[in-house]
Amino acid sequence: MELTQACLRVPPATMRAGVEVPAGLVEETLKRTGVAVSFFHTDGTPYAAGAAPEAADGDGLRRLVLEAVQRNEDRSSVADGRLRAAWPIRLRSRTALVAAGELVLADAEGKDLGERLLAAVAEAVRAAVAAAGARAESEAASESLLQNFEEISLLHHLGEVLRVNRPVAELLEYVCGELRETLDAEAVAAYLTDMDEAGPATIVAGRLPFSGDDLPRVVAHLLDGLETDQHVVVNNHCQEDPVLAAISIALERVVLVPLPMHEGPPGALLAVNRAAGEFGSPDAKLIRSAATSSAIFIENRRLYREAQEMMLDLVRALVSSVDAKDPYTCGHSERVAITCRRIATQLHLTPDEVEYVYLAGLLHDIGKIGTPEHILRKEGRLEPEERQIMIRHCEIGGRILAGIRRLDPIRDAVLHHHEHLDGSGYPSGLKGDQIPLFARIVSMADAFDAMTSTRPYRPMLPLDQVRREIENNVGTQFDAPVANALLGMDLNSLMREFMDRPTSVCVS
Amino acid sequence: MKLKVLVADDEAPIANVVAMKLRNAGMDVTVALDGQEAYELALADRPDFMITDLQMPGMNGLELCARLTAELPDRIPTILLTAKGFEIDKAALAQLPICRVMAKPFSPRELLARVQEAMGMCVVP
Repeated sequence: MELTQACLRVPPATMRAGVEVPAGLVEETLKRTGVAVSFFHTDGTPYAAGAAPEAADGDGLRRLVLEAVQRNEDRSSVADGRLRAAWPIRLRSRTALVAAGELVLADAEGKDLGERLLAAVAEAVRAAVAAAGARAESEAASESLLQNFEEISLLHHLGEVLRVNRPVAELLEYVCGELRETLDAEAVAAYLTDMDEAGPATIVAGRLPFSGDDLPRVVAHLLDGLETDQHVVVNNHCQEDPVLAAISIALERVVLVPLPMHEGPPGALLAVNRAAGEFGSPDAKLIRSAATSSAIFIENRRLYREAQEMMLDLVRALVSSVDAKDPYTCGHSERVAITCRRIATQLHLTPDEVEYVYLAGLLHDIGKIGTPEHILRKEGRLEPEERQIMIRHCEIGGRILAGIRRLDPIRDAVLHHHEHLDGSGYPSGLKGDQIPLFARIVSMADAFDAMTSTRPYRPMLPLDQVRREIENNVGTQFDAPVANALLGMDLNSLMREFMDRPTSVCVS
Repeated sequence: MKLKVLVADDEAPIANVVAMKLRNAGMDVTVALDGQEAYELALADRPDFMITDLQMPGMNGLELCARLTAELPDRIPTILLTAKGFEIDKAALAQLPICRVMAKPFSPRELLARVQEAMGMCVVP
């Protein structure tokens, strides 16, 4: 038997999942059986871009292929000393492609043997194509499984960093960084038209192929024409878009997912450029998951901040109603609060603790709401019975706060802010460590403000005298670490911060 | 020379995902579905690197690592996978060639990067 040339043409663009002609099949078949195998579309056109040259009589083979497609069965023919066969290869219910085998018969007797050989080759080719298809499907499934794992891992870790008291920028930096690595993109950026009421913000992981200032234009252009914020944009040919091309000649591919906010200023996540290939729907899906989590976080964060602001405003309103009773202590609570916050920061307390100490400073004199005005406003020393009434403001303050569960951590600070370290203070005469830390801080800040304020019976003390006064009372009145924290800071800058404080309601 | 990696996890899907990721990166991966199987495979194959789950029936990941460290001449650098929030005795870890503990769910991409990092392989950023 003499053999003809083989050809195998399978352009990837026309292949469907599950139809794969394995590399080397044609060469292997030719080598081992002498049968030249080729592949055709169901319309009789050969799979283009094959490695092997055209068969000697392409037309004859093509007619046989069309016949096989039409009848939906294997066909064979003998012409010009060649034995040819066409084998439709089905995927599910449809013919996906047609394989053809061809060999040259040395003589007429070879026909039976040749047909048996072609039948065996047909079976082997079908099996090889099916196996390659299954392998391709399984690889695709594996890829998607790996992708799902990445997604689960990303969303899981996202869940862990989504703490409502963390800044939005921190979250978005994390999201962009993780997405960039997971997607293998050159850059992933987040754009918010407003972040924490401080104006537009851009967060970038990696390197954008254009200036960050151009990001709003890129986002606006990509979002233009989108009906809802549920859509995503995948553009793997950005240079064909004149607007994008004008912004950067290096902008090749982009995926944009709007942050699906219910209310509030909009924003978007976008991945830019990837050397490894085009962006596709799995990438968009991953970004969308991250965008959804981020949007929920940003909105919760805004609600949290609004609630927090509301609470602080209410506390300040309450506090200024007390300060208003006593013209000489106007703004005192706010100044004590500011000093408390400085000391707490200096002592390396946690951000939550710092906030609590600040609130304790604001509210420390709230019990004075129950102190008669003539005692509060009295110039000169208090009589012993007046003093007894004055002292009660600590306990009244403690009782007022007892009804606010959220303020539990500061109730004791309000109750004990007049205790002295040596036990000579009030209301309980607590000593040393028995006095809660927050109370020791408030006590220090309270005394500092008293010394640095002008009172009817004496002017404001100069800072170096304040300093000596505090140093002289460390261990008896003041806790050493707390006093050192205060004395260790720039007191002039603290005094300047008092000038910038929110205005209080004062009566003169 | 391909890096020989042994992956041990009684959760087959996880073991397979890890194996898939490492094979895609050109490594030679063997999968074991419990500690005993991993132990036997490690003695026979002498892997260059091991990734093992902590909690497996029979021999757990720490025991597996300890036995291999005691019985083989070369220590096998190991990444230990654990369930979230599972506390591990730091003293026990210090005795073993465990270069990293990763909590599930982990990112296959990150795991691959950790293996490459531990083996001093060039990682293209």
